[in-house]
Amino acid sequence: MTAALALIPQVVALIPTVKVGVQHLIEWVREIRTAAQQSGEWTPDLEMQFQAALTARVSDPAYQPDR
Amino acid sequence: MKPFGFLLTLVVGALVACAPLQKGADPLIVRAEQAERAALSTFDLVLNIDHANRDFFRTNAPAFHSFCEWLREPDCSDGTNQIPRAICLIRRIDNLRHRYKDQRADSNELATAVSMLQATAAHVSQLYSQTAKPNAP
Repeated sequence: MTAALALIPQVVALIPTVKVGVQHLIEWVREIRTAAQQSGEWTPDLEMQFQAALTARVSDPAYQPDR
Repeated sequence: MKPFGFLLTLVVGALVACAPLQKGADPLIVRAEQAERAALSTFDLVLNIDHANRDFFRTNAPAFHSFCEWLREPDCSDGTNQIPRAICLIRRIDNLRHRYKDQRADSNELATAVSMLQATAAHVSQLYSQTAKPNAP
């Protein structure tokens, strides 16, 4: 978590320099913020949501190697 | 850009205020869950940005693109599908976390695996931040 937090200023500084993917940068900052604010262990619902998110990435085109 | 920058400053400021742990929560489990979530969002960030213009990054940022490809390579299977390494790395921590909860894995094993996952996510972010330049797409 510390490593991710340390990178935030660098990644935020990149926002004006990129023309695509700004929404991913914003989503990343939002997710890191949520993770940093976590104060307890995941509930079964959160656990299921995370597992579903992992499963969804298996068929995500961004996760497929070059052809 | 100014209002946007101000908003981001607020968001980043809020990050510094990490919440204290609830009573009874195991700090190692919470840390593992945080690492899993942060790693998934970091992998989402870099893989989507690379995917948006693979040709550009292959030519202009080969180290970044190669590391993204390494994250995409199939590294485990669920019996039916080949699963990208990025997801396998997170699933391994997930399995260890459950084994630790069931007292079938020790804390050192989980702490080491969490540190390695964090290092991988940090490495790919560093590669990306070194890569992005004003002429990047």
